[in-house]
Amino acid sequence: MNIFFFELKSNLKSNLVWILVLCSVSYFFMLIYPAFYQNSADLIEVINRYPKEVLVAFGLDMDQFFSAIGFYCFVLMYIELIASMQAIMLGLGTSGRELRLRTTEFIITKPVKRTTILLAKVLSILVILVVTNLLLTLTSYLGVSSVTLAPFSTQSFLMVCLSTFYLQLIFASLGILLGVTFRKLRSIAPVSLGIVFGFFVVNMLKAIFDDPWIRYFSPFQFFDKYSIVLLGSLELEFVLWGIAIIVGMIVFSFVYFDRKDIHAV
Amino acid sequence: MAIIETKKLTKYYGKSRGIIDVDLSIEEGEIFGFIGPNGAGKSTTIRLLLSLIKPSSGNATIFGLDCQRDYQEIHKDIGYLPSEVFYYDNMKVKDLLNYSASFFKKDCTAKIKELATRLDLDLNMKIDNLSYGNKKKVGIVQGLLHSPKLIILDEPTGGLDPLMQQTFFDILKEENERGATVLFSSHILSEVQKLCHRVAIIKEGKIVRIDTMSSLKENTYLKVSIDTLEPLSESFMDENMMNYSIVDGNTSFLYNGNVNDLMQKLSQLNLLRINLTEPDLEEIFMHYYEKE
Repeated sequence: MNIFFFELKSNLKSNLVWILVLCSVSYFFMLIYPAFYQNSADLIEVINRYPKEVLVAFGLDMDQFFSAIGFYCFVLMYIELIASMQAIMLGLGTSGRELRLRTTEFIITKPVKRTTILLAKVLSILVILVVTNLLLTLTSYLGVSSVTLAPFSTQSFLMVCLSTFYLQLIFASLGILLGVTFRKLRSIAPVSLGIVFGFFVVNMLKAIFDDPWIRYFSPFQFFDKYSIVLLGSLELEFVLWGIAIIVGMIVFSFVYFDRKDIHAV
Repeated sequence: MAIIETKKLTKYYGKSRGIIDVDLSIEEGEIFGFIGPNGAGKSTTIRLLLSLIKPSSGNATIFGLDCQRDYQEIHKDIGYLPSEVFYYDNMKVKDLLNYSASFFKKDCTAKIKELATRLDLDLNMKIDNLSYGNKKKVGIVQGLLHSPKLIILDEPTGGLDPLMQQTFFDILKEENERGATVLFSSHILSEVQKLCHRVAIIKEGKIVRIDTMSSLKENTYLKVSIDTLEPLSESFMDENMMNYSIVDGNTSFLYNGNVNDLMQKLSQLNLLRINLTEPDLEEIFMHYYEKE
C-alpha cells in the first residue's frame, strides 16, 4: 500500500493539470457550438468546397456534425489526443520512475515482491484514470447539455466517453510496458509524445486510404464516434480486441519485470 | 551458521563474464571484506545476492533461504548501501527515510534520529540540494534504519570526508557488535584492513584467495622509491625486493619482509630522497600473480 500511495502522491500534481486541461477544453469547446449552429448554412457551403478526403481526415461528418453530441464527437478528436498523452506519460512515468531516477535498487532491495511493486503502480494509474474520466465525463455532459437544442441519448453520450477511457487504458498499458522493458529512460515526454503523434498520423492515414487492417493497429480508430452515437453501443469486436491488447501488455509487463536483470547505472 | 553461502555462483552478461564459480561462506557476526579491482565481479556478486540479477548457474543462500526464490523474506533483514546513491525527486530527507522505513514492519523513528545525529545529517533538507557526501549519509541511514542482520556495502566510502568515514566505520563496528554480519566490498585496501576480519580477493570473476586479515597483513608490501646520487647496482637487490626498476639515480621496488632490515640496508646509502608508500591493490595483485 505504501508504494500505491507514494505513486499516487507523486503523480498528483501533473495529473491535476491534465484533468484541468481536459475538462476546460471539453467544456469551453462546447460553448462555441451555438455559434457554429447558427452559421451552419454558411458553414456547409464552405465545408463542401473542401475535397472529401480532407473532411474524412478531420473526422467531419456532415449528417451529425450539427447536433450538439455530433459536435462533441468532433471536439473529442483533440480531447483524445490530450487524453492519450496524459495516459502514456502516466504509464511510462509510473512504471519507469525507478528507471529514470535510478532508484531501482532502492525499491528492489526492500522486502517486497517485484510483482507487488508493479501491481501497486498499475492500481495507482488505474485510480487516476478513473478519476480523470469521471470528471471529464461530468464536465462534458454539462457542456453538451448546456448548449444542445434537441434532447440527446445519455447512453450514446456515455458510450462515447467510455471509448475515451478505453483509449487511455490502451496508452497507459503501452506506457507501463515501455517503462518496464526499457533499459534506459532519461525523459518521458519525448518518447510519449512521439508515440502518440505517431498513432495520430496513422489514424489520419487510415481515414484517407480506408484500409480496414490499419484500424486494428490504430487505437484512435478503434471506435468510430459517430457510429457509437447512432448505435448507442461500442463495437464488440474492438472492445474485445482492446481488452486483449491491454491484458497482453500488462501480463507481459509483469512477467518481464519479475525476471528482469537490474543492471548497475 | 553461514549467513551467506554461494555455491558455484556464475553470471554471464550475454557472452561477457560476470563471475565464475564463486564459492563464499560468510559466518554470522563476521565483517567480511570483498576486494578486487574494478570490473573483477564484486558488484556482480552483490547484485546476485540481492536478487537484482539472476545467476546463469549455481546458487546463493542468505539466512539459509534461496536468494532468488525467497528474496522478499531475506530483504526484511538486509541493509544495502550502493556505491552511488540516487533518490526520488523533490523529497525531503525525512520523507525519503520514512518511505524507506514504511517497507519494514517496525518503528524506525528512533534509529533514524540517532543515525542522523551521529552523521550530522539535517532531516529537513531537500535531497536534491544535498552534496554528494550528504547524499551518501542519507544512504547510510537508509541502509541501517531497520537494524538489519546483514549489512551489504558496495564500495561505500566515496564522498565521505575522513572524519565521517571514521564515524561510519564506528557505526558499522557497533552494528557488528550488536550481532550484524557485514559484507564490505572495496578496492581500497586500507579501508578493508581497518575494518574486516576476513577477506576474499576476486580477480577476473574468480575468487583467488580467501584469508583472515591477520595472515593477509603478514604479506603486506611496502612500495619504496629512493633517489641516490649514483645509480644503484643490481646487486643491491635482495630476495625481499621485487618488481624493481633502476632509472639513473631513482630506484623503486616493492618490499616484502622485515622493515628493520630494510632500514639498515638503506642507512648505508647516501640518499637524496625517500618515499615509502603502501602499494595500491593493483600492485599487490600483480604481485600475487607473479608468485603463482
